[in-house]
Parts: sequence; structure tokens; C-alpha cells
Amino acid sequence: MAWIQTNMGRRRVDGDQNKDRLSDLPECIILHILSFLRTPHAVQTCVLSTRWKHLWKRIPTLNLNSFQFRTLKIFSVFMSKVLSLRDPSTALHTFNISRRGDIEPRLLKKFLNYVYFHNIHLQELVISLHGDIGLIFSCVSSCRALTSLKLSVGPTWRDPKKTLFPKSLNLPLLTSLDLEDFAFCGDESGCAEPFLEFTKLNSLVIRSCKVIDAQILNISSETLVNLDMQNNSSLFAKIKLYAPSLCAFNYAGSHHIHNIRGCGLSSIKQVNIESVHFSASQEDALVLFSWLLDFANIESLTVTSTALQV
Amino acid sequence: MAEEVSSQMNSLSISETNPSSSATISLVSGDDIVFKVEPTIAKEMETVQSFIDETDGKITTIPLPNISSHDLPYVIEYCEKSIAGKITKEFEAEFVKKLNNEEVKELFLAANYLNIKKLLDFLSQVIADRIANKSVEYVRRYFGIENDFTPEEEAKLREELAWTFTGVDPDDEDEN
Repeated sequence: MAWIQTNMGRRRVDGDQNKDRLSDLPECIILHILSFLRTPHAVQTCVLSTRWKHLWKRIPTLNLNSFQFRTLKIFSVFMSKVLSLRDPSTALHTFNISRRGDIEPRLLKKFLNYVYFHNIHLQELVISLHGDIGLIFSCVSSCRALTSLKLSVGPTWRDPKKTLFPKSLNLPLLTSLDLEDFAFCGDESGCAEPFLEFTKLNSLVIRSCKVIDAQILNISSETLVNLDMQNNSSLFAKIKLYAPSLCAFNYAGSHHIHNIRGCGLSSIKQVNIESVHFSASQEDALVLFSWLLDFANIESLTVTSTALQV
Repeated sequence: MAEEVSSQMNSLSISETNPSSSATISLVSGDDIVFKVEPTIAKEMETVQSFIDETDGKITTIPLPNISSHDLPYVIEYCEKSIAGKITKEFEAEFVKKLNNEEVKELFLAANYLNIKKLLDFLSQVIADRIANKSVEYVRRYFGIENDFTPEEEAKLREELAWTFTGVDPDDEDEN
């Protein structure tokens, strides 16, 4: 955001003099504050005064969570209204949509179309819902300006199957990726390497994911700084990690600890290992011990007590 | 207003130029208290840094007439943590716990004036959290907005946008 000289005047006298200073701010700063609100609250600011009547239509962010709405019908009407009334010339930077359970195909199409037509400036996309996966991915892959992507999607909420992570998702500017409930597919050599295309990746979160047709998950990135792995399936045994820029690594597991082969982890400073139900096997203890050898340079290590019992 | 401030800055800075103290930067609050900070801190404050750059680093005393000696230490603390890479959720929660509504607004304006993007984003989130779910009157007071709608106009608007006022988690009029 460009710096704008604001009319601040003197302060610290009494409440009265400070009173109207925030509302004196230029529109772009107020829109910036409003972009941190959930969209229903942002729209409600239209009744504050005549200046604010149409302000919400120019917010660069949409935050829609179905749990805020009493019924799916209300959510559906709200989303349709917002998308049709929003100022079409205002760039959309962030779209965050979460709907627990299935979404009507018509509503999904409306949302994806809107994203598709605003994809030039879209930097951040959060999609958490169940619907046509093919449509969702073809839309996501059109958003070439994305720097941050968070996905938790499946065909239908009744189907607990993991969604196959597409190999051809090419988002050249992506720095932050957060995936939940995905399956990564291995290649001929029995190794899955799903993140190779993302050459600017800085932060990676993998939650409740699994690897299919492979024994090894390969994470190799020159740029990765933060890695967070939570509750991933223990069906694959090994993780190969090459990340010379990695600073912080969080690992939370439940029943099994992955065998991690780290190399080039010279920048790592902080490691958190959290686990609730490790089977206290000697094997796990050895794995944990080999981890600690890989992380020889760390400054801070947090290990939960149950993990230490192994 | 913009011109007035920049001319004030020039005259004050030139009169206080002292090449021997170039290792640290002196930030002078609106109530004339001097805060000495490392140049790395000044880098976090884009407004200060661009001022230093414009004078090729000769001027190291920067007057900040819009920022009080009450607020400036908070800004410096946040910048220090940011450089050290120690901005955590815990730190931010502790940081904001110390601040009342008025102070949050003051700091927001300071962050905007100094153009510190991270602090501005963080405080935007804090303000958003503090006005979400509050009554219209509360939010008007928070921002200092004068209601220039007639009651009829406001009622009509609420009716037109009924889809955002009904079925969504309601305003808490009690929190006024």
C-alpha cells in the first residue's frame, strides 16, 4: 500500500479530539482494514454513513464461511448478491471460501466463474468445500498470479477418500501452499515429488495427506523456509527432505513417526515435534534419534513429553 | 498538510545534522523525546528510510511530529521483533493485550504514517477483530463516523440489503 500523508494533528488530550481520526483516513486505508473482516460484517458497514454506503463493494478481499450463516439458502443468496453487486472494476486480491459439506453445483459454478474472471490480480485463494474437483482445479490453475493457495477439497463430504493432487498445477509465483486431505501419486521409481513445480515456495503445510503408489515423499526446495506436517498417513514410510533455506519445521503425528532423510538442512533453527499416541517402539525411538542427528544445527527444539517416551 | 510537514522536517533535520553519530538513527517524537535506534530498525520504517536515502545518509535525526513518545516505543519493539524473525502469534497476543482501543488506533495511524507494512496488517486485523460483531453505534464511535442518514434512509437501506442483516450472526447491541 502506498504511503499516504494523513491528517493526524495533535493527540493524547481527550477522547473528543481523537474522535474522528480513523474515519478521516483515505479510502484505500479503510478498505485495507475492512479486508480483514468477514464479508458479511464488511457489507454491514454500509449503514454507518453515506460515505460508507458503497465502500464494501470496493474491498479487494472476499471472506465467506458458511458456518456464519444460519442456513445454506441464506449463504447461497448472500454469495450471489455479493458477487453481483461488488464493483467489477475493483481488483480482487483474496478469495476465501469455506463450506462444510457439499456445495450446490450452481453455486460452485458461480464462485469459480467469478474467480476465473478476476484471476489476473488474485494473489490468495482459500477453498475448503466439496464439489466437482475437475472444475475446481481447472479454475485454480488459471490463477497464474497466485502467491498463496490453501486447499481442502473433495468430491463429496460423505466420501472420505483423499483427493488426488494434480501433477500439472503450475503456479509460478506461489510462495505459500497449504494442503489438507490430498493424495500424492508416485512415479515409476516409487517416489512422489509433488512440489517440484513451485520454485518460489516459502511455506508448505501438509495435513492429513497420504502418498499412493510410492514409499517415499520427496520434498526438495531451495526456497522453502517453513514446513509444517500434521497427521499425515503412516502408509508411506519415508520422507526425503532437501531444503537448504529451511528455518522452522513442525511435525505432528499420531501413531507412527515418519523416517525422514534430511540433507542440506544447514539453515534449520527451530524444530517442534508433537505426538500424542506414538507406539512406544524401539523402531520409533531410532527414527526420532536419527532425526535429531539431521537437525544438528538447531537453536530450539520442542518435543512433547509423549514423543520423548518412545 | 503534506507540504507543511515536509518543510518542517527539512529545517529541523538540517539544524541537527551530526555526521559523527551516523551509527545510530535518532527518532524524535512529536513531544520532542529522542529515541536512538539501530539503522536496521529505521529500514523497517519505509518513511524514515526513504528520508535517510534522499539525503544520502547524511541526516540521522528524523523528526516524527505525528507520533508521540507513548506510541513510538511500541513501534520500535515491533520492528525489533520483526527483524529478529520473532513475530509469533504469542508475541502478537501479548503485544495487543497491553493496548486499549485508543492506543490501537494511535499505533495504526503511526504504522500507516511510517509505512510499516507488517505492523499495519497486524493492527488492521486487531481493529477488524474489535469491530466485528459490534453494534452499528459502537462501530460509528470507534471510527468517529457521523451518521448522516435519516432514520428513513437507514431503514430503507437495511431493507434493500436484508440478505446481509438477517440470518447472519447478529450485532451484539448489548456490547455497546
